[in-house]
Amino acid sequence: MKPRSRARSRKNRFGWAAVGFALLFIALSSQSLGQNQRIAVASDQASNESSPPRPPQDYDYAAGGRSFVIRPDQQAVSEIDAAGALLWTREFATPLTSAAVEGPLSAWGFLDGSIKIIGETGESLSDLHPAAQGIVSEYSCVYSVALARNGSGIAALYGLNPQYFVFFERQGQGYKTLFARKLEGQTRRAQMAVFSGSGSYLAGGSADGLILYDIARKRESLKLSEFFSEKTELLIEAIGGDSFAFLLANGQKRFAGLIAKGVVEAFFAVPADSSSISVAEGELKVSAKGRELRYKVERP
Amino acid sequence: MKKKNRNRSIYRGLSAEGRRRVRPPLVFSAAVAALCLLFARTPAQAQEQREAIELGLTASRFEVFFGFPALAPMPLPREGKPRDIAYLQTGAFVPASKGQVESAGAGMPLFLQGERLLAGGEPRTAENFIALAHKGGFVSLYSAQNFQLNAEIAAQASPAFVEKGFSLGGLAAEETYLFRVYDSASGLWVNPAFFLQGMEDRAAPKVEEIVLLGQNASYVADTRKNIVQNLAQGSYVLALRAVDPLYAGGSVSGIFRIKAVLNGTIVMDKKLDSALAAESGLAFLGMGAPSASLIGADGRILLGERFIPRGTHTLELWVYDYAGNAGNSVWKFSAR
Repeated sequence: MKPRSRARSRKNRFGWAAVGFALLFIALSSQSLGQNQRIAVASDQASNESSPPRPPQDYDYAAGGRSFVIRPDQQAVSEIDAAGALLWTREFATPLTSAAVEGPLSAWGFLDGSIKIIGETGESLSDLHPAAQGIVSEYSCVYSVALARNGSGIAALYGLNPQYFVFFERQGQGYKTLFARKLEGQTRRAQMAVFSGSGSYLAGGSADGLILYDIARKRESLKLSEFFSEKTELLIEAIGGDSFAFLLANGQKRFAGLIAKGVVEAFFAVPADSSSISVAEGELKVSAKGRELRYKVERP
Repeated sequence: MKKKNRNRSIYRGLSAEGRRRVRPPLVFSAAVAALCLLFARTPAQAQEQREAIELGLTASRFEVFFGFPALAPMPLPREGKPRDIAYLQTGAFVPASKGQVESAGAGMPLFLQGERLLAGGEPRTAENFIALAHKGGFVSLYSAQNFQLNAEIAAQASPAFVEKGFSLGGLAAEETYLFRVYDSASGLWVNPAFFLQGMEDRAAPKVEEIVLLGQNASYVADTRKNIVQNLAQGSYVLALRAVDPLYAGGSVSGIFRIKAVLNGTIVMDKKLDSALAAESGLAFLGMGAPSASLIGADGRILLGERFIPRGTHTLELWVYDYAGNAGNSVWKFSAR
């Protein structure tokens, strides 16, 4: 057997070394994917001074002539009376994401997708889980909730992948799904939904548009879609028996409008700094910075 | 006698020179192929594995307050004193890394609470927060008062997937945010200490006060040596006030375990590893909800009722923090 040349020997040694390194690299990289390893996030040096727990700051939520205080972690609600005295406190399983108040009742929507109806003295009257009603989304969360008079109906914007606008009607001690609209778009921010004064109509914001539902006729419609997106904010207020006033914010643009019996009666631009609405004495008032604009709808 | 060529099929027809040239690349290729087969994943499996990487935050300093009492101040009433509402916390304060709040794990934005264009409409605190949904049912929450949500997340038209370490938003430098973790699959709030890395805590927790609360009388422990207190036999609620001090330059890992030993027998050994999300609130230490029901006067934790019979007793209370440091207090008393 002839002895191998030096060049050939170097080539073979190099080849085997390359094989070895390649195998080692593959083994290590695969191992890091195979195990649950925590990936380091860039650290930052904090000061050496001790920092005590941050003092909590409460926030007042006023609705339906009632006042509530939300706990800093958003996992409890306390109602206070006009004199500031505590009426009741209730802690919840997950942070609340939406609420509606109707007379002595209140409905609270939560991060875990549940809805709770609370009575006048803070007692739990009903626990509603849309998923248990056949409204199935990949992720559960409640983004808006509306409460009909006497708790006869609950509406909610629920879930992600997909998102639904749902109306539940009370039947006996529980609730049953009466209407569910599967939405094309999805929002991850709190929205508004309101029943009309008579309880005949329901209006709610969504990423698809303004959803109107005629409860008696079981008829739904989607309005003003071109003005709605995931970023749209909406304030809705019930007027009289069957009407709503609303203020819509889409980026820098603001619009106000009126809906009567399921029909958009008026829709007009308002100043870009408009931030809230109210209705009194037949007038729609839009509050902007330092001024209040009043609009009166004249019907022929 | 010729040596048999054992690599019959591959090397058939090749000369010795050819076999020498072909062998290393063949070995290399075979090895690569074998490893690829071993660790091969479909794209869906790769995505799932990416999302399954567990939650974790790394920083030089955390302050865990899971199970620690806090007071939610109420508005001042017209008459009488304000009644602050006590509750047990579920989070940890984490310093914003270079002013950024980063995602602890890959997941999808589930709920956003940021600056509103319109006033009113929903109940909320002054804090902005974002909740991320992760695989396996975990939901991580990040909240702070001055938390400016990342515009990219806020502007997403459809739920987006964010990688671990993604900037969820900004805070002023040196500010901290509250980090919480909820396991929706189990209905549990999980102690965030499990997900915090780089936490150095060598300061032992301290038992500040032990109290036996009775219907007719209460006794605050005098734990000085050679002191034996006298009390009446009967049923008492054991109350404890303890604190996990800051380790200089390090973290507060938070009180994690409480153990009571009465006359050499362990009568209680509970962990603050999670809190059950119950219908009436949060249940810590395997006790009832809401969390306020576990809080007594002066921030004491109520550890349950026990009958103290006549005789001389030695009560040892041990508290451990998440880092494993231990503190204890021994109380000798005589019940008549």
